[in-house]
Amino acid sequence: MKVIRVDMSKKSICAEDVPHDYMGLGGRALTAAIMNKEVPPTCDPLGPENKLIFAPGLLSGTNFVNTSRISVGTKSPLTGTIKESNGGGTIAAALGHLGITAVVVEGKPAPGEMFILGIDEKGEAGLIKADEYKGMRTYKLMERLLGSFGNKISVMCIGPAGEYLMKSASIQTSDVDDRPCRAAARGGVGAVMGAKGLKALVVDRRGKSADAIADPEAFKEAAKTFALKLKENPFTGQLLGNFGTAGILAAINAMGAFPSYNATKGVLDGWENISGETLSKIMKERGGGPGHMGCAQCAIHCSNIFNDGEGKYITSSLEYETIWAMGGMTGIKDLDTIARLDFLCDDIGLDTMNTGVAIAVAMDAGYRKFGDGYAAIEMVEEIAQGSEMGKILGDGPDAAGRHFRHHRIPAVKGQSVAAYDPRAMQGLGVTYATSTMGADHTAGNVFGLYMAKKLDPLKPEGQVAASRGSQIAMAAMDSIGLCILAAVALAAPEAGAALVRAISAKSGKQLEGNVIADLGIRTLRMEKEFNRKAGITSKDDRLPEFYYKEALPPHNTVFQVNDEELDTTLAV
Amino acid sequence: MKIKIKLFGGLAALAPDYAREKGLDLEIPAGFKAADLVALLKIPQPQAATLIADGHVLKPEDKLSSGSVINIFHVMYGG
Repeated sequence: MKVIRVDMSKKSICAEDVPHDYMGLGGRALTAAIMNKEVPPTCDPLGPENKLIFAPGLLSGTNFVNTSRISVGTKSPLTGTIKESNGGGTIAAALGHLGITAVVVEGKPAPGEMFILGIDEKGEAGLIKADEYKGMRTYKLMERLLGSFGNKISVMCIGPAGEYLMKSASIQTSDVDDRPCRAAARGGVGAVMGAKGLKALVVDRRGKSADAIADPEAFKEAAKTFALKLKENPFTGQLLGNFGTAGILAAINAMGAFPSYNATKGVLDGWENISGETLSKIMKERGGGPGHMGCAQCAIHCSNIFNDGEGKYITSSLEYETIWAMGGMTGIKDLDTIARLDFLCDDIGLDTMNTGVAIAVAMDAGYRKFGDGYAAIEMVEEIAQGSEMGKILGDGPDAAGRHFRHHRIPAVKGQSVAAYDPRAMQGLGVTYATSTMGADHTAGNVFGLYMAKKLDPLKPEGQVAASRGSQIAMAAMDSIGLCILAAVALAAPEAGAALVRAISAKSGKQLEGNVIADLGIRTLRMEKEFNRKAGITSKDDRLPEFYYKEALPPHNTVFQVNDEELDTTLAV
Repeated sequence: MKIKIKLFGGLAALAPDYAREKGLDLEIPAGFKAADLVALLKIPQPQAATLIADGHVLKPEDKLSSGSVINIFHVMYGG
C-alpha cells in the first residue's frame, strides 16, 4: 500500500506509505478524501494547486470480477466541482498488482514542458520528457508507447483536446487489446492532465507486489459467489454480451425518454437504425462483434468492435451513451457515421457525450442541420485543429450555447446530461441536478427501477428517495472499484453479502452489511463538503429552465420535482 | 382482439422465425392481461420481462387493448 506523489513543478517523485487518514479507502472515496484534505476548493482547476489523482478501487488488482475500474479525482474545469471520472481498461488492475493505492500529481511545469510518467514492474516511477509526443492523437501515441515501453503496459493518456485544455477533454485508457478506447471521459479531467504537462501515465502490467489479502480462502469463495450471481442475471449474463449497452436503447425510446434532436423529442423516428439489435447484427456481419472483453477481470463482455463494410476496424467500443449523444441528439441515424465520431473522440481525447451534446446544441441553434453526419465529423475535426469554433465546441454544450445565444442547453453545472430525459424519467433529473459531479447518470441511475415496475418514471413521487439510494450505492461502487454494470448483480442478496465478505476478507476486518452504504455516504459527504467550500450552493443543484417549461413529447410532461425536495436528496 | 408484439434482445428467440421489422401479430381474448401474455409466450423468467405499450411500463394486472403494440424486454439497468 503506497502512494506515489509527483510534483510537476519540481519534477520530483516520492513514494510514501498510505497516510493514516486514507487507510482503508480506495477509488472515489480516496480521491474525495485527498481532495478535501490537500486541495484548496477555490483553486483554479488548471493551476498548480489543483491535484490529479489516479486511484484504483479497493478491490482492483484482485481476482474479484469486474474490478478494474480507476477513479480520476480532481477539481473539474468544466463543472467547478469536485470530480471523480471513472474509467475501465486495464490500468486499475495494473496499479493494484503493484500495490499502488494512488498516484497523486500536483504542481505545474513551465509552459510547453510535457512528460510521460512511467511506473515499471517494480513500482518505481520516473518522468520522461515527451516532446516527441506533443500534439499526438491517442491511437498513434499508444502505438509509439508500445514500441518504447514494450507490450506489457497499461496507459492513461490525453490527445490534442487535453493539450488545448478543453473542458470536454478526456483521459483515454488502454483496453485489453492495447487500444486507447476506454475513457475517464467526464468533467474535463484531460484538461487538468494537460495543465500538469502530463501526456501519459504508463504502468507496467507485470507487477507482483499486490497488497496481501488477509483471508485468501474467504476472499476466493466470496469472489466465486459474486461471479456466479453475475452470470445468472439475464442482463449481465446474456443481454450485455450479445447487444452491448446499446441493448437498452429500444426500451428507453419505447418509454418516450430517449432525448432526441437536442432534447426536443423523447422518441427518435428511425431509432431502429441505431438500436442495439441493429448494432449487433451489423457487427456480426462485418467480422467484429459484441461480446468483446474490454476491461481486465471482466466477466460481462459488454464491449464490442465495430468494423466498416470491408471488415476494417473503426472503433471499440460503441456504447449506448455515445450512440445517443452522436446519434439521437444530432438526428444522425447512421451507425457508420456514429462509429467514426466515436473513434475521433477517442483519438482526439474527448468526452463523446459532452461533445455530441455540444454539436446538438449548435445544430439546434441553426449552425448546421440536424442529421448532417458530414458536418458533425467536420465539427469534431475542428476541435482537433483547435480552431476558434473548435475551442467553443471542445468546451462543451454550455460554451456552444453561449456562443450561439441558444437557450436549450441540456447540461447541469456545465456537464451534459445523459441518454435519459428527466421529463420522462424524473429520477434521472434528480440525479443530474443534485449529483456532486454535475449532470452524471452514472452517479445515480434509477432506470432499472422503472423497468422493474417499482416506480412510475413520469410522476415526481418517490424520485428523490430513489436517486438518493442510487447515488449512495454508486459512490460506494466507485470506491470499491466495481463496474456499474456488475453492480446489477447486487439485485441478488447473495451477491451483496458476497461483496461485503470479499471486502472483509481483503482487509481482515469483520465488516457488517451496512459497510457499503456507510462508504457511499461518507464519500458523498466529503464531496459535498468540498463543493460547499468551492462556493457551490443549492441554487446550482437545478436543471436548466427549459426542462421545467418545455414539455417533452410523446408524454408532454415537464420536470416536476420541486426545489425543496431536490435539496433533501443528498442531505445524508 | 388483435395485438402486435415486438420482442427485444434475447427474447426474439422465443418465437421461431421472428422477424424484427414486422413483429408478431397475436389474437387474444378480451380482458387479456400483461401477465397472461407473459405466460402465453412462456418467457422463462417472468420476473425478468418488462412490457411497454404506448410509452408506459405495464403492470402484470394491466389489461391489454385491442390494436396495441406491446414491446417486450428483459429487465434492464442503466450503465
